[in-house]
Amino acid sequence: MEKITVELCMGTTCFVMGSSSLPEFSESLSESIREKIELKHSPCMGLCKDQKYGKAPYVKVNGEVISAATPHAVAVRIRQIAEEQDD
Amino acid sequence: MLGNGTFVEVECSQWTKTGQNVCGDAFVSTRLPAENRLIATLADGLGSGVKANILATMTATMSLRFSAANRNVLKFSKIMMDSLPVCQKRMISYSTFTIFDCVLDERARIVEQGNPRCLLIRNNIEVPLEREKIAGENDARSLYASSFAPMAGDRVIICSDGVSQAGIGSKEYGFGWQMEGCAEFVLSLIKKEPIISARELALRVRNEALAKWPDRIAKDDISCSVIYFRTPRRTLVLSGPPFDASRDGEYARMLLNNYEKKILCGGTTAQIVSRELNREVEVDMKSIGNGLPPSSKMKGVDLVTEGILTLTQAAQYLEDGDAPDNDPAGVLVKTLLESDNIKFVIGTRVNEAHQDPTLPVDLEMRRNIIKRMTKCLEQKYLKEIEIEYI
Repeated sequence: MEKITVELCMGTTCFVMGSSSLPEFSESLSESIREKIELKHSPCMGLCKDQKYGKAPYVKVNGEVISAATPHAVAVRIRQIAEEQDD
Repeated sequence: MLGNGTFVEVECSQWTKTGQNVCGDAFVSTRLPAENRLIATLADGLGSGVKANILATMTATMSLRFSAANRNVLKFSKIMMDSLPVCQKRMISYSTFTIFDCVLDERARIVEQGNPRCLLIRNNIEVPLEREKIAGENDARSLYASSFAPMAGDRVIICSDGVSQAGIGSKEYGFGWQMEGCAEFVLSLIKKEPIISARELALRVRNEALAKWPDRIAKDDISCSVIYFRTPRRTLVLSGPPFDASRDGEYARMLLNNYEKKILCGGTTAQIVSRELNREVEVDMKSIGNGLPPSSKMKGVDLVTEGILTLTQAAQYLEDGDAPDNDPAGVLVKTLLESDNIKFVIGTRVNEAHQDPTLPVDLEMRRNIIKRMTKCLEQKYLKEIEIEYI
């Protein structure tokens, strides 16, 4: 089974922008997708220092940065990747 | 600091009489570095509540100031008694007190008036102090003086009668716990934990005294202060990225120096150290609490926390004098308070994202929070602080 890595930033900027609610992303996912997820947390990804990444909070899904992340946006991207893997 | 490198840790733990809002005992201490001297006083005001608190605070503060000014103890005791407000009910003004006055490397002198006898613990036995009555007709108003030459490892325990009389009148402790009971408890504790800090010991004695009262309803204010002559516990705190990134390696390698406790405060700080020393950092999501970001774990580091938010909360806890143990700022405060010498190495590179006015909370500048924290650690908790900016 191909894994989907999800990395949540717990740094200062991300935290004040709501990263503590990001782990909720998995609630709307099916059991089969959840089993594929490898969840990691970072003390700081350092992305907020560079404006090109947009606004905090940041999540990396398979290395791809999602800025201004919400649990919904993360879940949507994970579903897309899972579907691409199934195809 | 004693000449042989010994540090003196001073702590007091108190519990207010059940039903009262403030403690009727007062403990104050000061260090006079120019004279290599430390003075601590514990006073127990007549009655309880606000009235007792005022009597005790005045007595503790006055005896501290008079002692520091090298005034004659007999004369200033009389001045203190004359200046205390008179209780309307009992028509007397009264507060017991103990003064611990120590010139480090030389001698410690103790003057006791009305408080339970203090304990000197050395090499895990109680060393009896020779007390000389220096004034007073009856026991309640007598002044007793004693002295000893402090040695590394010595502990002096000064309690209010809320400790010695804990549980008085109860089935089990009809005459109260007594200082003999307290001494026995302290010795058994030190046997199990030979390097227990003054802070922890004072807390444990206070809790044990409270437990002697039926249903933990304290019928008197409880205070236990501990003065501990010990090898200093040195702690290193690294926080913030260096201004010049070419110094990241030098900064991270400071962690390899010899300190009892090592702390990292900051996500970027943790990443720099992780990268430079090739040590993995793992976020501990279970530590998330009280609105603060989680702490992390790294080999060889005792505590890794987030930066600004955690430091700001820790500064608040230090100023309030109370910290919970279920969030990273509380754990940080506990670690700092168990240390004697704390070196802060502060990276001064500013993260511009923190200055974004659209952030939902104000993020303080790191240097300002560190200044606030270190001022409090020095003045309120008598810690030795060193700050280096990088």
